[in-house]
Amino acid sequence: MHQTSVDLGGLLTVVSEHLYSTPMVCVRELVQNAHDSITRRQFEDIDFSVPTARITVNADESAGVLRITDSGAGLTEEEIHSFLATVGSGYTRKLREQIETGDGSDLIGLFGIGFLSAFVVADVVSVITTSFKDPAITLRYSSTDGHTYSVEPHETHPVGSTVELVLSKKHDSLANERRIASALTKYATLLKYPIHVGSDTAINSDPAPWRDAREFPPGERKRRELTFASRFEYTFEPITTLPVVPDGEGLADARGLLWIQDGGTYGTSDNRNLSVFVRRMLLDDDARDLLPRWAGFIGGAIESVKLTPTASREDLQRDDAYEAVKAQLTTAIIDGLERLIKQEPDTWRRVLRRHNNNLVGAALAEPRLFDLLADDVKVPTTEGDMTVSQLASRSPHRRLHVTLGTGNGFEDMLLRAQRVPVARGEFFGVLALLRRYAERNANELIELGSDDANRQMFVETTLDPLDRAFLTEHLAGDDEQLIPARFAPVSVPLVAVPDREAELKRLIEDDDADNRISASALRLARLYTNTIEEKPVVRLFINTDNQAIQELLAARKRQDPRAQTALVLLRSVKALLTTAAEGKSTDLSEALNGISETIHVLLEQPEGK
Amino acid sequence: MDVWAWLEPIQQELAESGHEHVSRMIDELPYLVQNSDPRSEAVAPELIAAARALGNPWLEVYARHWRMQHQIGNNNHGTTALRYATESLEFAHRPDTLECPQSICVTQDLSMAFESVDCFGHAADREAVCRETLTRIDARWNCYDCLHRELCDAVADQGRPQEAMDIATASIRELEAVDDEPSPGYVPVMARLHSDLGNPQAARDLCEKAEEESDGDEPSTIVQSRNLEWARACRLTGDFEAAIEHLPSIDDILVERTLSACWSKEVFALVEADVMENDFELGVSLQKLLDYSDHVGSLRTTVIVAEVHARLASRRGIRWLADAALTVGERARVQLPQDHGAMEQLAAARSEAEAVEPLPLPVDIAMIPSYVETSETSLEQDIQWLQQAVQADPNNELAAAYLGNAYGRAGHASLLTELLGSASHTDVAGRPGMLTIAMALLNSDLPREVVNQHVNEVSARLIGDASTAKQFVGYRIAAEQASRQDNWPLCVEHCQSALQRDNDAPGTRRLLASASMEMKDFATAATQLTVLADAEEEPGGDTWDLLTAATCLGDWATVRNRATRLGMDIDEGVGPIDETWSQCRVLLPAMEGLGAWTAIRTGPVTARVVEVSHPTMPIQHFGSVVALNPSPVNLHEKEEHGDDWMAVFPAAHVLVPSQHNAWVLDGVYPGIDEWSALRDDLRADGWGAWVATWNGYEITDSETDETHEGIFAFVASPPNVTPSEVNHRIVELTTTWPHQLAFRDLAEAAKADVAAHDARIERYGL
Repeated sequence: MHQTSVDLGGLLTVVSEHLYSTPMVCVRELVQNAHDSITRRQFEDIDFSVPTARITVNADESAGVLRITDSGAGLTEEEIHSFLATVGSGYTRKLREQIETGDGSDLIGLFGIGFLSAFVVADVVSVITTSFKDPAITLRYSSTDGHTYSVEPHETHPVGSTVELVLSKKHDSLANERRIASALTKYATLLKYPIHVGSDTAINSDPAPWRDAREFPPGERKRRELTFASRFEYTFEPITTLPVVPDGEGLADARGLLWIQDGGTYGTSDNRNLSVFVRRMLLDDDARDLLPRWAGFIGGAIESVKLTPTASREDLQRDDAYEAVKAQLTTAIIDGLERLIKQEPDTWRRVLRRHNNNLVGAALAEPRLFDLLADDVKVPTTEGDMTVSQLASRSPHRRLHVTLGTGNGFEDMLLRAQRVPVARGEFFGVLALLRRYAERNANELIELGSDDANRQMFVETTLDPLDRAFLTEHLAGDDEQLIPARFAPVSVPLVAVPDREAELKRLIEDDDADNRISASALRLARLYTNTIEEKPVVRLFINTDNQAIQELLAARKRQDPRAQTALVLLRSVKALLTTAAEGKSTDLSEALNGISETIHVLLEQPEGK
Repeated sequence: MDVWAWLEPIQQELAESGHEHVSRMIDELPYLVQNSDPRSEAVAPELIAAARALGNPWLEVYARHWRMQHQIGNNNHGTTALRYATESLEFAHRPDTLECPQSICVTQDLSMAFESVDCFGHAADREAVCRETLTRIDARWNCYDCLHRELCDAVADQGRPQEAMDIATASIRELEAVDDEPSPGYVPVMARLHSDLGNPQAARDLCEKAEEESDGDEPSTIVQSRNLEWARACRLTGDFEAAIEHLPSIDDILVERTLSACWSKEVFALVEADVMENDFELGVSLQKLLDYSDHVGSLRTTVIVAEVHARLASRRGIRWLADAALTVGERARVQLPQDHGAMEQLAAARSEAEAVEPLPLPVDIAMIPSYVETSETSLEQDIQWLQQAVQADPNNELAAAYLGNAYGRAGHASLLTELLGSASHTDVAGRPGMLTIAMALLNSDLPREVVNQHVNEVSARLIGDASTAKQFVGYRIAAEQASRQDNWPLCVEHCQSALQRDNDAPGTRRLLASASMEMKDFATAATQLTVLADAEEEPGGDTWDLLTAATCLGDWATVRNRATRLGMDIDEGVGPIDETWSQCRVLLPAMEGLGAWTAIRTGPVTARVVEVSHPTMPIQHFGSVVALNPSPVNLHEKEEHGDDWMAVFPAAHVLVPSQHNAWVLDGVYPGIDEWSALRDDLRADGWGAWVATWNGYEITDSETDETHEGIFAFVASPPNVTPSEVNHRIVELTTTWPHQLAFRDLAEAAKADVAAHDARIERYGL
């Protein structure tokens, strides 16, 4: 028996508990080693013919045995002692140092501990190997713990190696070809040499679309890309793909595919999904952080030589290359969306339907996207969903009206009466989107409920002082300021609009506030309310363009007693409109009595009089 | 006490009752805010609305708090945040909200808003709020940590760093006593205090250790404040290289707005130490910070940034910029609750500005406009010279126009409004240069109401002037403004008034033509474009536009005549031109917005749509004849796409709307020869056939289990052909095909047998 040069006990524990998240990773490592071995043979064996390169994985379910066979370089006895028995000095690293041509991306193993992972899942690990250097000699390495091992002659085996794992009870479910094929299809999709798992068709026979230089009829390439993408999406179907191409000679060397998922998203939903291949091997299938946070609807698979795996080989180091690729992917998404908008309007509309809200969030987070998306995304309005430009086109002077949901019922009501759509600012992103849109496109944004909105909607006019006094006396309630104004629609004679600022001043300066709010905070709050002028809490706008108001004032001038009846009706209208707008039943019964009274007066008079 | 504990059962309840989305927003909002993510502006209003809809006022307090954390804590809103912060304070102290733990946070938000207004002037008030709140809680509350850091800042802002340091140290001890770890937010607070107390090395060590121990997950606000204090400590220890290394970039500061004042002071110190360049770009950065803090009413920041900006501008010899910064700074200063040295600082900066020796003029003052056009001097230097040129001769039209343009590019909108106002009283007012200034203002990013107010004032003044030239400019400006508001009738009216005063104004005429096109008044557009086209030395853009207007008008003689002048070979007949030119795409209404439809150009600016839409589409475009706007929207892609490029034209007007009916054919693709035969046969009679198959459409024949390539196509038939005739014809054309297509809707409309179609649908799984 031989002994390895390092103490493996501790290392194995580390490998099993920390390095690898699932036992399938061990299969991945061994396939990787097999692949490296063929690469090595291609470099060193001048007689080697690439078409004979092949990796075969087969599983004997009943015996709990797994075999990985390659037509690679094989090992001599000396090599067995130096590579299989010395953790951390895997042959791959040595070979990579030797290969000066190319980028070494054909070589996958990096830490030389791939082989060690076999001991995590197997009770007995054997390697039957024939080196191309001496095809007549076949050897069998065998070990139960990786620490002590035997090397003995074995019956003839073609040049190459077979790693045979007698799986431990805990991991015997690994001996399942379907399971392995399914996992390897994703893991090994970029590997160069064919990998067969219980079938004549190699699981990696179809090259990744971005590595596939063949000519295809139009549409066929897209179809292949979508099929490829669907292998990486468990929950969603990809709608369309966006290419990732390397950025010249810098660190941003990623190439691959991104795609837009079909699952509907909301605002900040995050379904980002990114698989990263480093040196042809799937290293991280949850590298979502490489995608911008706003891209919650994007999936992808990329490969890179510049990205560096962490020791666990399942994550990526956060280095300069990481940042460069991250920026590269952001640009790829933006460019891809731009191309989609311009060249594939039908697909773009599907994307918009699925991801409208997510795209709103993306536009807000990424200024480059704002210009691209602002005219296409839709916002909910009182007249249904529409684009901001539609919203503008349906309002006088292309103003954008937005409500925050409550507290501006009057403006809302007036606009509804004119069928002017009002965007629902309480929904995701609407207010922020409109603010930026208005800034960019020079639209006026009217935030209902604000003083600005009132200024825009009610243009103050003047009245004869006698008229004003008359209307104030008969129509304005306590704490209401009567303001003659013009506003649309002219059919509305008057509205009472609460002055939120005046209300706030009252509330903060009221003695009751002292009981509720701490003295020091109240002092600060009053610093602010002291700057607000004292005024009534309700503004009663009288529409001087309204026919009823004009006739009422004419009646007053000629001292027509019927003016009193008209006033009763107007007071009722005021109360009803207040109820409708504020959602509070103020003096509803009085209003209804007023209407009855008016009808009574109207019908009481003899006909024709 | 976990002040967020009350949220958990609410979130669970929300998730279980189908409001999972609201439940998620509760988690997301703080995360977005702490990372200064602009999407927090998107989530907060929605969460508030949800809280109201669910009748949960505590949740509204929570959402209001985070909204203010973004508005004030990230975006440094000062006076502009006071109303909302005061309203929220009142809201958070009603009987149904008083017990909500975030009522305390909302109180702190108000205090923070006053800090943004003036950190020094309101320091005592802030200290009082913190101390009063602290009497109600102990170290087991999560807000204990945050309140103490704010207290430290408030005490230090009153010039008592040692006391602040004692508070910080004691609070950390208290936190540790209850097994709580002090937040990383303590690092910048204590680093500042170390430096204030004359021990910058301790500050450096603290920052360095914090970075080493960082898991990279701290909120960006904390990271950038730490970096800024780190840079300051490095500078104070004389290690300028490290100071430059740790100093946050201007891009970071444009996100972490609360750091603007400290960053500006730090930059000034580094320039003073001669380790940072005082260049035009730095001036641009400071201007951005100044404009912003002025805009959000962050008064103390405005004063500090204005002072730094002015002093650095003076050192570059740019007097006007120093003056402009000091005007803004002064406006903020007078609103400060306490002066705290502001008056003296601005006065010192003012003296420096007054002592600036301007760079001598490089050429004779009258030649300045042409000089700056070709020189490579900085924009701010050009502005300085142009101002001198305008001052020397206010009637120098070129100088005024260039100055307006330069202000616009540099983003000095307030100087632009001044220039517009003053120019309106000079000879420039009656010259095209005035329009340049007005356009720069119309293009500026000032709030629209401000722009409109200034432009209205000036245009009204010019229109009321006795000089016809000034009246022309007044109308012209008003027309431009109307066009930007899409108010086409007003635009037309103003253009016509302008042209009555100056008939030789091609720009105005072009605007009139395009406004008339918008209003579908093709006759006016054609009349104006004829004048313009006749004036062209070589037929060009105006002639092309005339082709479109004349086409819309049906004036085919003009179209033929002008197209020939453009070198096109057109048949010599009369009436509509109907030739077969190249394929293109035309933008026409789709289900949502506009879509690009394949068409064949039939003349210089006409095309006939050949793409058949799905029968259920509200509008069928097949056969429509459309007048095109002659500039393709995708011209910029022509080079990239080479021969694959196909022009996409906007439609100016639909001349002949489609009247065709469409029908769906679905089934096994018969092969290119068969399909082409059908298509050509139909097209010969003015019918349409269009394959709409998605790539990869495959059909399995359940009888043989064989898979075939599928076809999903639309056929368009003229309005006078009955469904029965269509049905008959399609049957006739496809009857020899190995697999019969399904067109059930057509058969049904034709009252023919649908059973055969149902069988095919079943057989092929259509």
